[in-house]
Amino acid sequence: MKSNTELAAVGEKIISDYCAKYLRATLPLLPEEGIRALVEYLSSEKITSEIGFGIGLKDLILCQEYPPSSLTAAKSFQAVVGVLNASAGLGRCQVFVRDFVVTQIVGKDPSEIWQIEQPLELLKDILARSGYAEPESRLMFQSGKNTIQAVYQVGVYSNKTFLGSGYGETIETAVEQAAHDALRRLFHITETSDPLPFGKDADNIVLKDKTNVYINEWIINKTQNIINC
Amino acid sequence: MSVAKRVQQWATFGRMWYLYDAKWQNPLDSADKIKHYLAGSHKPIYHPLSDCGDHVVVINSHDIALPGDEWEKRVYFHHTGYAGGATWTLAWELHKTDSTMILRKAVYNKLDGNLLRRGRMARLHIFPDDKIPDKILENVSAQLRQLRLVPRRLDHYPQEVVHNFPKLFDWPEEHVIR
Repeated sequence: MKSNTELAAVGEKIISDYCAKYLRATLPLLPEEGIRALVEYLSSEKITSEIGFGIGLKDLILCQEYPPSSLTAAKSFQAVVGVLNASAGLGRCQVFVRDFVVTQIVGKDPSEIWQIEQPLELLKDILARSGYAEPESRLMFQSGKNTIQAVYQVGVYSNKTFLGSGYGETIETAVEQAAHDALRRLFHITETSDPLPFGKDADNIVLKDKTNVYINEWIINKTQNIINC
Repeated sequence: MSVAKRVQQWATFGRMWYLYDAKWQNPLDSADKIKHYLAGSHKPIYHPLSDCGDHVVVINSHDIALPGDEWEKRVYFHHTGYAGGATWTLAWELHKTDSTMILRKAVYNKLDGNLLRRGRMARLHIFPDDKIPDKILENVSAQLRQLRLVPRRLDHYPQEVVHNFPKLFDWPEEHVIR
């Protein structure tokens, strides 16, 4: 009986390639570092093994230990993708990856998966590069300043235009969260942004091979039309 | 929980500090409004056991306005528990002794009579005038609207405004009004 490590390697490549292309097409404003972080999350052992167990590989895998370890299940799922590519072709295989792997990101907050350190510095850089004024944080609301349950809401503005707001137990936390919120609004990964397309809607999207803009080159482009018709 | 979710939770369950000016307001109607905020019933996350009540700071409780002749007729009964310990105190007498008591008793009697009442009353801060300790004033985050419109007194208007206000009729100068 042959081992399926080659098929697993092929499958792993197909998964990470397709996820990257799909996410670049559906989240065009997210920087490339964000796309890489999301793809790494989707190809991680934890998620892949969860999908594997979800499609019933626990009863199909032949290995020494029972139940199969999560690493085994992950590799087996990658091998399944590899064999699907060999038998049904890349198109069908990619549809399978979309329906089983990419859907794991539905409902998850991309900014939770892609952690940005120093959001205020990043915002400052982006605004400077885009020709906007420096970000200015202002206190929007506070309650119970002298109590242990103090609540502060801080807003980040650039030349009096509102960029984002954040809450916090202290003013420093609130300022940081406001910067995070501003970045989320710029990259269109807020809670209210459009959901990722699946099913019939996704059949028509054009997969993007070219990498998204990197974070140290990202600028706010007001005239950019991001509606994919 | 990520930081964003954690601060969202903190803000949702944060305690508000409301300011209410009781000047010329009916204390019994004010108590109806205040009890609503002390309990947290104005919040979509309300549950009696989730301790979601807010603080209410009441100022100018010395200037409350009981309706009609209630200052003379409303009586507050108290019994010490010992023989001969019954007292009947009229509203004006009580107000003279302690000008926060009428409003405090009004809110206490409007709140539900359960074990949560004492905790909710502890979050009510009443002051007879508008002098509030700085530490409490710094906590205040919003204001409750008054129930009754407070008219501006005639002697509080500038004299030129009163003098120049158009009149339809005035008594002649020599006329003696009896």
